[in-house]
Amino acid sequence: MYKYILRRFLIFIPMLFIVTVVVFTMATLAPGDPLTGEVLDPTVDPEVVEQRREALGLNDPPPVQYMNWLSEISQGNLGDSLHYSGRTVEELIMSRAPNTVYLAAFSLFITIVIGVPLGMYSARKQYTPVDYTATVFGFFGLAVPNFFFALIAVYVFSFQLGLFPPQGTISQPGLTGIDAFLDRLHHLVMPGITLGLASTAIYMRYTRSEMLDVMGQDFIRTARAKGMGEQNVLYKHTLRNALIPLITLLGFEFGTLLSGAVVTEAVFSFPGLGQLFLTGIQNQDFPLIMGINLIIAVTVLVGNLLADIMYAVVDPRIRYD
Amino acid sequence: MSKETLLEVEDLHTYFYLGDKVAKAVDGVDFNVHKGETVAIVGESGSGKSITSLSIMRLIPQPPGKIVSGSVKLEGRDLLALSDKEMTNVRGDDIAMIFQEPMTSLNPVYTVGEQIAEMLLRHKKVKTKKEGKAKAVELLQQVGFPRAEETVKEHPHQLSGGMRQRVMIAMAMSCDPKLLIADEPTTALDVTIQAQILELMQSVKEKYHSSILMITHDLGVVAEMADRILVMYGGQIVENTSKYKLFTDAKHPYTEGLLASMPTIEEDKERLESISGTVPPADNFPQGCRFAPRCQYAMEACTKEVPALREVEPGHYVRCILYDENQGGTAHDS
Repeated sequence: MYKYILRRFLIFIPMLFIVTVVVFTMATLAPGDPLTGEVLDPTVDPEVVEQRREALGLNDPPPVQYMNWLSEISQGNLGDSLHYSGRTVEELIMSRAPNTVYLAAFSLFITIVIGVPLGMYSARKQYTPVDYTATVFGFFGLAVPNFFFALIAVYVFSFQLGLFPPQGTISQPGLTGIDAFLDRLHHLVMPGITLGLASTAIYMRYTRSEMLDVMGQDFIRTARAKGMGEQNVLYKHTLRNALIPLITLLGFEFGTLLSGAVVTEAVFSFPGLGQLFLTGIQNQDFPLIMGINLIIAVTVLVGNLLADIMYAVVDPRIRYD
Repeated sequence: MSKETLLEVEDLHTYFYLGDKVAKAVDGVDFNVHKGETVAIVGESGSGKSITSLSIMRLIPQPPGKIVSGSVKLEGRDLLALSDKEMTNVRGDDIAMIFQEPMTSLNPVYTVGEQIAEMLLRHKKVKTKKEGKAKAVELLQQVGFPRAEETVKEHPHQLSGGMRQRVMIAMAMSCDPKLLIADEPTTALDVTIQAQILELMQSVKEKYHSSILMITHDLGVVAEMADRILVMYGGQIVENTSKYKLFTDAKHPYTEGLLASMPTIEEDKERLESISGTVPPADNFPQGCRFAPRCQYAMEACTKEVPALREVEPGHYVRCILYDENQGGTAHDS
């Protein structure tokens, strides 16, 4: 098992290399560079701009630029932001990452706490009004784009009902203890639900179909023939088997959450990594784009590795060696 | 052999409601199982034999299945009248069951020991998990696992089909059931393993003084195991007799056909006999005797009404018009 994990970590290196090359290529293929915008200011001497460009290495061919970035990275340095002058990429990421972590954790919590039990209940009450209602909710969650849902939610719950703040992460600085926590939570509700909506629906549908699938298996009949009660059959014999495919889903979830965060954070003006990423792209801030991209890639890879390890924990038939 | 009755099945009807069709999978089944007796239910696929056994356990998937009427009495207690919760106390403890598919009948994510111990705990045969594990080792030794201490810690996928069926038998016998229902226990196994499993069932039966209700389509298995045989066709019992009588003096034309289709070592046949036609679908039985369309003795009266199951000689019941004097039947003898 340990050997397997080590091997997986070693495979990360070429994968990250490929991911960064692809993203870097796409970023440099876009017309213009970080200084293009500033040229719009006619008072700036074009010669000065050109000097800046030369100093930043933006005139080097892309492969050289990439190699420069890579050598910085290998020393643990994510570089300086070009858009936020005077700030390092690392600094920017560290200041925004906690908000995105809260948001992702909150939405993952909703997904698991609502999606899985609802799916189980739906499977148990197959073809009843409860099941149909859950199914309709499931299709709704899958079909509605999250930016659209977010706009409706802001309109209804913030502007009409005034229940939740439409944007931001805190209402005022200086709160402490439980007040600060509740204030943050209050701000997380709408973006969290928006981000988790589709995943909750997917988890619900998957849990439902997996539970139904497992309930039809021979060993469930055996459990019943042994005299096991309905609760035991459901929670012990069925659930653990139904969880196995859900773990794959959990592995993908990290990527889904981070990419979903880009849109969700933009709509709710939520100062997280997603919004930072968007700003980076809009201003062609190469070091920032590459830095966040690297963080996302590592998260997705680690997420998948975690899922594979959890497989072996839940399903004894899977052994890595 | 004592003639004390253990299980009494009376006029059992189990139907499946599929859309606007009603499949009468079990349609009026009566039989008894005495204490210490091995009764075999024989029939083709779709004859209702498995549904009969699942009905006794009340394990019919519902919906679409439903036990419509009848009674199943275990030592005089009607199982069909019990609440769902009371029935779970009967399952495993009074009646245990082993299934056809040993490969899929054990839960893949729990160890063999956990699955046996769980049942012992459920029926309060042991107090702690530790005791349960110890008892599981003992049970596995009884069914022929030489290194039972290690086997209890193994998962089902680490065992072969024959070994899994041994585990199923150990599990079934763990709570000392009065009746063991075995639904085609050897069908999925190699022939050599089949013999071992049958032998094992015979020995646990003697050890625990239980009765066995065996579902099979294999007349070889019947010859090996059964005291009495019920032949099922189209959701009904068509013949009920002792093993000896069945192999020497079968009355029902369907039973005759079954016996004729069995290969024997003495005769050198080019082709095995077969009964022409197929089992009628349970949602569309023919009028009258359900075997009539395939029966070589069929006459007009056969298509009028379903013949009754009649005792033609002591302990020998046949559902055929040929043995009914009132209907003008002239008992033929083969």
